[in-house]
Amino acid sequence: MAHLETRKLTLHIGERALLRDLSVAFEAGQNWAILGANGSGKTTLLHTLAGLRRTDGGAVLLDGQPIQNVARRVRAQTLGILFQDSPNTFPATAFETVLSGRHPHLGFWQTEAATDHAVAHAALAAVELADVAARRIATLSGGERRRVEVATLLAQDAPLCLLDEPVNHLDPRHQIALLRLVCARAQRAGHLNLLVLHDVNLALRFCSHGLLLLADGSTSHGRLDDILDVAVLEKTYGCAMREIRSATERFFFPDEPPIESRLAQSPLRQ
Amino acid sequence: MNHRVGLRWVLFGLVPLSFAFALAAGSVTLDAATLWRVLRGTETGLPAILVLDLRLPRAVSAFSVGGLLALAGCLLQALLRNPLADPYILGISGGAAVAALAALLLGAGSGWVSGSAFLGSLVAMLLVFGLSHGRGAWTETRLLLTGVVVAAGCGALVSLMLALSPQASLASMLFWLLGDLGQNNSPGWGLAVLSAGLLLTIPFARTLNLYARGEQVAAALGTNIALMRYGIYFLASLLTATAVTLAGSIGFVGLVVPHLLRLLGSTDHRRLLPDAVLLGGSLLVVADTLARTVVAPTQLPVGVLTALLGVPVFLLLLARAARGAG
Repeated sequence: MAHLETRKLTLHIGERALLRDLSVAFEAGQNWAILGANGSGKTTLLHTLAGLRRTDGGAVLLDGQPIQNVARRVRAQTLGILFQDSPNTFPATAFETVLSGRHPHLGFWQTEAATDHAVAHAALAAVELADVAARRIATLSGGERRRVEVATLLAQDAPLCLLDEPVNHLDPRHQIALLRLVCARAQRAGHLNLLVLHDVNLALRFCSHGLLLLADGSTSHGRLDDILDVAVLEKTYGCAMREIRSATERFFFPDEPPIESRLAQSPLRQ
Repeated sequence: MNHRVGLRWVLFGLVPLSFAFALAAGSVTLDAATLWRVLRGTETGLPAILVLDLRLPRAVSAFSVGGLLALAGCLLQALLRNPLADPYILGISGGAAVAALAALLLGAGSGWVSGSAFLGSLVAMLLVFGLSHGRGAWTETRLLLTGVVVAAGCGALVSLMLALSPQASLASMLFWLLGDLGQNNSPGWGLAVLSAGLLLTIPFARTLNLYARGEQVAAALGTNIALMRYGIYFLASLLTATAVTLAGSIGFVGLVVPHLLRLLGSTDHRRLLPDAVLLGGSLLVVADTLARTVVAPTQLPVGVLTALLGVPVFLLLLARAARGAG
């Protein structure tokens, strides 16, 4: 049963305060979207929630304990994180990379057993990359590499997953497939996800809850349906937004007039 | 998978072959039958003296130095996450060279030269570590830059000493700089350090795989990265210091052996580390044997041979890998 909570969490980058006194509880069964403009501190927040960065005030609690006090291996069994990008300096195959996600489940003297191999193969298959298992990472496309990283996270099999822009580099079909795959995990007992996303509409479709980092340093959090509107998104992104409603769904887009030159050439104008 | 198991057997085969070559070749070439009798103890006289007192200790120290350099190369490449890292990049050999040359300049005996080389490398190691640590965040770039600058400073000091030194000691100084396995009378020491280093790193090899993928990735999967960082740095430095003390700066082995093995499929550190020791050791045994036999009685610097042997093989593999990837 994973449970993550912040108590009066404060984050600084240099002198600048990114976040002040944030108290929020992330509960099992929920998919959280973290939304904010570039440089608003989404990644810093995610790293802090993962226990990889010290807080500048307040605390992050994992299953009720300050996350810095949780043993590293236990933490890695409970909480997994997908980074925005990971370097691939040295050659490794896709399968080897995914298999490294099993690390927290292995004792110091253990090597991967058949079950670990099975988990890694299943994770690759889940992101539709079973056929590239033996290929080197460097030979894969950007989108395929991203899916290998997600497969590594799946192989880690932590009930609590933090994902930093998981759909980077992915085409629309794979964006949907990947978010469906990841967010469905929250239905398992004790599982939950936190996703940093830039696409408000994907967040609305796949996430139950949202945490918005507003441009003025304040935050808004709660059920996405309750907190999302044009006003709060404009305060978040600093640009005009427009809401479009269908019978069952809401969509949000930047309310920018088309660029003049394109307008002149557009067949719609004729 | 079978391909890689095959590679391991080839590497295991290389070791006795390289030793047989090293023991048989020289001013007096021994045939297999004589060699066998010497090793079984039934042959005494000149062949026994040649093999047991001269060639075997030299081959053993060549193997240990090659293994030490290759192992240190693997570790430093993972630590710095830089494929161009080699055991000398952080100034260890520079510090050793400055101290050894100073000892030679003062007319010290070989024991003193080795001792001061080891001391010099330790000073360089602590200097680079201290300077790169300072205040603010530790990054591999900062460590790398500090090491490269300290190495450059040592290089300048070496040039200065060479320019100021009398003609008489110049030859021995140059030979030390180019790497020499000739005057080695305690090969057991290198082998002991090599074995200890390998035994110490093997249990951490899986963690090293994560570390090579990035500190954050390793930390997220439950690794104590501070411990890994310092452990790798000091261990790799000590391995390098030992190698430099035993044989001067022999280039190429530490840089290329790890890459060669990665190109051949040893990407997992659990395979890479022992494979690198086997290949680096055998490579240096063969190179050293060639260095003392090709234009005998003149001895060539062994570093020249390691480069001449390794560069074409490496370039060939690199070209093949590039084609395979494309």
